[in-house]
Amino acid sequence: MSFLRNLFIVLTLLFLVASCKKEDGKSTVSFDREALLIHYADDLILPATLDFQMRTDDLYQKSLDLKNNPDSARLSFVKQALEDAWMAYQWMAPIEFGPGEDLALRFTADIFPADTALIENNISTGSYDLTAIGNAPARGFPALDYLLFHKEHSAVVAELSQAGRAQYVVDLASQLRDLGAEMNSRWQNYRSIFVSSLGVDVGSSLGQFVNAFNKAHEVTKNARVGIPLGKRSLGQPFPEKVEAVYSGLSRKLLRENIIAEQAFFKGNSFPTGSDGLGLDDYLNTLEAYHGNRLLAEVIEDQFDQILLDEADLAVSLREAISVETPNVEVLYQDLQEQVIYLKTDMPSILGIQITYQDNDGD
Amino acid sequence: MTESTENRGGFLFRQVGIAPLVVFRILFGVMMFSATLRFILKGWVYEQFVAPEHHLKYPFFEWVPDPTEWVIYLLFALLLISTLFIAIGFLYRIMAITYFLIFSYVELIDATYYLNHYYFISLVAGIMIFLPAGRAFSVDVRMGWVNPKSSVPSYSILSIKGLLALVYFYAGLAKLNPDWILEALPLRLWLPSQSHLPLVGKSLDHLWVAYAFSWLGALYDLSIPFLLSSKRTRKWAYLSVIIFHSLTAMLFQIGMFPWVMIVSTLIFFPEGFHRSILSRLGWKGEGDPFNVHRPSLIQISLILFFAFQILWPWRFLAYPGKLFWTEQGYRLGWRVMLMEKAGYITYRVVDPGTEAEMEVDPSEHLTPVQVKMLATQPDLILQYAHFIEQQMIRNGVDSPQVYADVHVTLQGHGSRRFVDPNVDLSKEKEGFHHKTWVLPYE
Repeated sequence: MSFLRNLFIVLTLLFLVASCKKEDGKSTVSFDREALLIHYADDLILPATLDFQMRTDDLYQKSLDLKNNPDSARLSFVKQALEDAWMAYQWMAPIEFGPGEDLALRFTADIFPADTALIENNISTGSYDLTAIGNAPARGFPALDYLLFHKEHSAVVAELSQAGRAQYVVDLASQLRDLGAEMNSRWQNYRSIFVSSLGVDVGSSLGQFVNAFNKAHEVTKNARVGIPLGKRSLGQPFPEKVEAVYSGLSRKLLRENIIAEQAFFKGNSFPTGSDGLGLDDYLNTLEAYHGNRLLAEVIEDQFDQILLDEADLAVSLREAISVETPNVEVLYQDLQEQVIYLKTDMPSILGIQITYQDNDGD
Repeated sequence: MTESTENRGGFLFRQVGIAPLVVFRILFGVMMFSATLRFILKGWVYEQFVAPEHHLKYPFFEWVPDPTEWVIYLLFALLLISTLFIAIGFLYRIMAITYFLIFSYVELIDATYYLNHYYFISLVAGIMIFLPAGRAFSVDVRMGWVNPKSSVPSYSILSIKGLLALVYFYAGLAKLNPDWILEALPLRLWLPSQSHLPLVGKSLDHLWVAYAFSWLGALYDLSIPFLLSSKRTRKWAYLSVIIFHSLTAMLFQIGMFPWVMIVSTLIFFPEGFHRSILSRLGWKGEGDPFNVHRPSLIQISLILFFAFQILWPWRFLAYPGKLFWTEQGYRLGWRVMLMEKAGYITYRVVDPGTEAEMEVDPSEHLTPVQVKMLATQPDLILQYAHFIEQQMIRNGVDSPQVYADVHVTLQGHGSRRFVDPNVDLSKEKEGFHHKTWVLPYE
């Protein structure tokens, strides 16, 4: 037994040495996930969904006005309202989980490129169900983008004196208004669930949020930039597949999209932008590094770099794909690099699961 | 009990009471029935075998066919039936064969679902075919289809104990690595994420707790087979089995494994314990001894099986590089909970004729779980590269080149490039040889 006793003493000593050897590291990593979730719900998500609701409601009112009195000024108001609502939508993109997922936000509001033949067909037959799955490319912001911007201003005004066409615009706006209203009211109820599910499994609030956030970033990388650039088609570019191809708002929307992602990462309040408790603080508490830099810093810098890449373009995104291909390529590569940080480094450190299925630790 | 044949058979053929084997059969059947039912009720048959467009196979098992939807549901129904019949000992051997074949087939459909405990269950089921576990307290005996036995040669029970001991001991050996012992990785990453749990939650934020879990976990795995085998320590050892596995069940998403181990290790208890359970259920203990005097094919196969099991996990030593990084020789080695690994993978396909290139995102054709495993396991990365190559050829591209862009983070250290992005994987061969295109860890 004396051997066992000695072994026990040796192991205990070794254990103490091993577990206390780090002078620089923290011995606890306590982080208040509940406070993070409350801040996200009250200072980001709820104000952003309220904004989305107001913008889409405004879009609806303005398009109703336009239908009743189609004129140049009223068309301008609708165009502006579309831009505002579409910008507000970019803040919904990173939170397509829970109510957002139930409402199929993106599938309802932002499937592009729009199917213009389908839209024209819907208008000419006058019978359409905008909630039907098949109508996904004939509804939402991209469909309005087509109807309001596909010809020059006066020609569109003239077109819209045709009642069926103006009604289609109103119906599109009405569907978006309902979406905004539902999103906000459902979040009012969902808030209490959101702030009380404190785990990191795939169904927990943080698990759902991080997974949805990553998915949204990949949509931006692929749909907003990659596919138009020809990344899926053996180098054959499709510039006309950018978001908002008719209005040319593509870059503005892309920029807002990245700004929204950045805010959701840093926990910046909406709309003031004041810094609060965010994923960056969580990562810093856990002392997450990439190389010899803090991971949170690397991710923030990467967002800044993406915004710089966007600002570097001289022309619209659609044109840039043809005439500034290398610059768009750089933008794409930087979006891609960010996927790596957001999808591997961050969830790995936070212990976030991507599935309910059993695992035994890789 | 009946007469002893100890002197004639050596320790492997010594006659021992059949009760522990019978109790194990019943518990195994009931447990696997519940595990199968749980799997079905969670919708995983659909999620794992029906929904995916494509399955990634184990190396050398690419020939395993994918099931159609009704076939997979039929197989799961058969799993339910066979486990139930194993438990009650109805057509025991046929049911054991059925269960082993179907379970193993289901595991072979897709390598991304690999779990050590599935492999363990497959091995136990395979061994059970050859053990006389249906020779007492079974429908087969009641119906007079087989002769009842009161004892069995001791290798029958030893092989189950041996496999359990092997799993524990090798899992313990695998923990004796610098990450686990010196850095408390990956537990220091995983435990704080559970700090919202009641009672123990708050303590999980402390680093020393991660060290304590790591060290005690290794000590537990290495010593528990011995502590369970010794009469003096058995009760305390079993108490620690219950505590250890309940804790892991609470902290980690590991499914049935804790319960499998808690129930299986009962086989280490003495025969009298199992006999009293069975007699309470109405077993009279009737039957002849199961005499075996000299090695038969079954016994020789069992010895070869264990020799293989003892040697096979060491094959990783034949490969250069860091095991956790390259995963060459990682599977089928009882390495559980050892690493936090995540990756991001896209492929780049080049048409050498036009030099046009494009990106292939595997997540368009694979589920998130499949992609997670694909992104960190070189043999799967190569296999999927070849799948892409075939697809491109079908789409009319002549001899396409396929490159992989993979970044992997291991143990929470920053992500880095995993495979050489300039190696055309369509030219690389699959197999057990060292994969030179996996970049070194540092």
